[in-house]
Amino acid sequence: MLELDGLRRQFGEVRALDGCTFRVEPGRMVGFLGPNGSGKTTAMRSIFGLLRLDSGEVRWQGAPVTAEVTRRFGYMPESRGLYPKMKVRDQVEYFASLHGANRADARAQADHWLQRLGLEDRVDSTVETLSHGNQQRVQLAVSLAFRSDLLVLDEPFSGLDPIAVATMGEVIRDEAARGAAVLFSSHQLDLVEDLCDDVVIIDHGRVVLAGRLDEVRAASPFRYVEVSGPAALGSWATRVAGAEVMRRRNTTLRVRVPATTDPAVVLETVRAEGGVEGFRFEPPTLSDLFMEAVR
Amino acid sequence: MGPLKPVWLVARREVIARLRTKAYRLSTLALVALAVGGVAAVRVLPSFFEDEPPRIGLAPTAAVIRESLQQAATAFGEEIVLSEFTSVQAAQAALAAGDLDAVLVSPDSLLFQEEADPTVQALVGQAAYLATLPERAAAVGITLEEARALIAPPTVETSLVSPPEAGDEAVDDGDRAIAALTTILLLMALTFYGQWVLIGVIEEKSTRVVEVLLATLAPWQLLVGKVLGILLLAVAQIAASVTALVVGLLVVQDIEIPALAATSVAMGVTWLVLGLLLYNFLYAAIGSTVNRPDEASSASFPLMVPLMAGYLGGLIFIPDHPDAPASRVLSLFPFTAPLTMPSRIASGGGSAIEVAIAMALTVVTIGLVIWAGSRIYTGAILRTGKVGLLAAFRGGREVG
Repeated sequence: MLELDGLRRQFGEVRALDGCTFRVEPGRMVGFLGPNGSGKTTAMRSIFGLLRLDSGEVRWQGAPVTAEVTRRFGYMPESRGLYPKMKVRDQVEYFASLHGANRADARAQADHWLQRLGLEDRVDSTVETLSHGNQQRVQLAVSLAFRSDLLVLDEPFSGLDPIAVATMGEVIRDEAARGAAVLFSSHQLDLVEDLCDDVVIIDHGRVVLAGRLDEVRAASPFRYVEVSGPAALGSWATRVAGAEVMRRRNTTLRVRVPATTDPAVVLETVRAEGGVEGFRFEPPTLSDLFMEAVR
Repeated sequence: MGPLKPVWLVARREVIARLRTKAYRLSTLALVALAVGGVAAVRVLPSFFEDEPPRIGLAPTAAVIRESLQQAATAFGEEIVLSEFTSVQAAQAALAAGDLDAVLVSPDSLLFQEEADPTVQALVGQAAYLATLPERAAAVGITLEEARALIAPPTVETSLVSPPEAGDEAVDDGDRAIAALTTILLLMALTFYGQWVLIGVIEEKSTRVVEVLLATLAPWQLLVGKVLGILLLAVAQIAASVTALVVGLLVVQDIEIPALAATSVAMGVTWLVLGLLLYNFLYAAIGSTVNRPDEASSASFPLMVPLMAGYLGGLIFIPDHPDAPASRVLSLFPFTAPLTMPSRIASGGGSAIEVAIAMALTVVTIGLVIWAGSRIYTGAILRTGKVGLLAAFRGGREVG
């Protein structure tokens, strides 16, 4: 298990990390969310000792992370980095061997992952000749190529087409199923919601929400009512205690109500307004949680 | 995996990646060609510059002064080729055919084709003078010995106003050439391979691959691996070049190798390795502070100062003054020693103890440079934007 414990780091006037604390358990996919500049990348870099912390500690299996330990971690940094003139297979092999694989194993791993990611035809191409999406696949292969105990992926899906996103998502899920702890950041909240088991939301360098996705959704003090049809346009929301209109689009209205609200009562109030084509009463989506947490 | 395994992996990648480049193959080829060409040039060029000795044909009446002519030539340190002809006509025909440069018709008659050769004129004059001396002595009634005593020049005592100081012993031309050549080659090697390190480090930084590397490696492992890899490549190229040179010399055989050449080559290679270690770590440290390849040359300018000082010293000053105080200082100062000590040794200067001290100082400095260079590298490699060396050094504890 990876533990980030009270991480603090100041860059000049900016508090990049301000007591950031959370954990990533083996076999779990953890979605790491936060607005731009909230400290996600700084936190991820600190896991690899890529920057000095003002205070706090990163632990793996209860002990401080050392160079020997990070060798068993896979990392896909936000700023992608590969040798442009090195061949794809050589590249993956090289990083696998840096992580301790022997030559035959490094080769086997490289071939396995490149095939899995659909790059088997490009193994002898240099990286600079690949498209952006394919370079990103190579980058993922590099971080996967040594059966990591922990995968840290900074925005792995950014800039990918839906098919590539699906392939990558599947590959990462399989790694978690194998027992790896996976921490990945993304701004694509629907995607994260589909993929992750746990969620950590960070803002201004501190964690504002963390836990199992289903639990944090259930634990939210709010529920969301979505109504479509003529009734949606009425003033029913003003008659529900604590209700706040979140979004109005065509004939659909999304309203946030306190979690204690009785859905039957809400439905009654709406129906009194007119015809109802659709009615949903649900815990917050990840997107709702995110907005609640960082606003 | 021990801490040195990743160093070796980094070095191996560096070697393999560069072996595949056209630049490496071409530069190796160029070095070998240079060595072979050098041997060929030494073999062939002198014949273009050395004058053939004048060929003088002797007509029957001139044969009497043959011996005197030979003596005169020896006395003046000139070489001449003499041949006797049975008739003046035969000698003239040989002159017209270009087989002779001059015909001595009689002791007092010299014939040239188009242009008179003053050397031959002087030699013949002297020979005639010597040949007729007994005759002329007899004419004035003195013995030959008396005549010789009469014409012997008085002894002139020669002294120097500013005699050369100790340490300015005359240096053989061959040794001087070796000293200069060694210095030139060392400077080329240090700047050439230094650029490889510099550009390589900047590439890793600008492509951001360094962040992926440093997630697994300690900065010193990456730094040392890179420098060692390039050192291996450099040694391989130099070895290829030296082998070509030795093979060339063995094939040609008749080139006189200056006595100090073998020592010079051994010393040159030793100092090359020391110099590469010293400067490549510096180049790497500097490379880590810049972001784009086009900033490389201005950033590495400070290194050119000691390099040029060593180069000019080793090329111009030291060959003539191998043991002068300035030469001693330059060859003991670690940052100029790799360029100047080989020059001193080739010029016949530098005692074994001085060489040992210079090497020890350089090795200690390499240690310091690895330490400081790693720290600068560590402090700068993950930062974007221009990073000052001092700021990088202070921030050097950031990582790993």
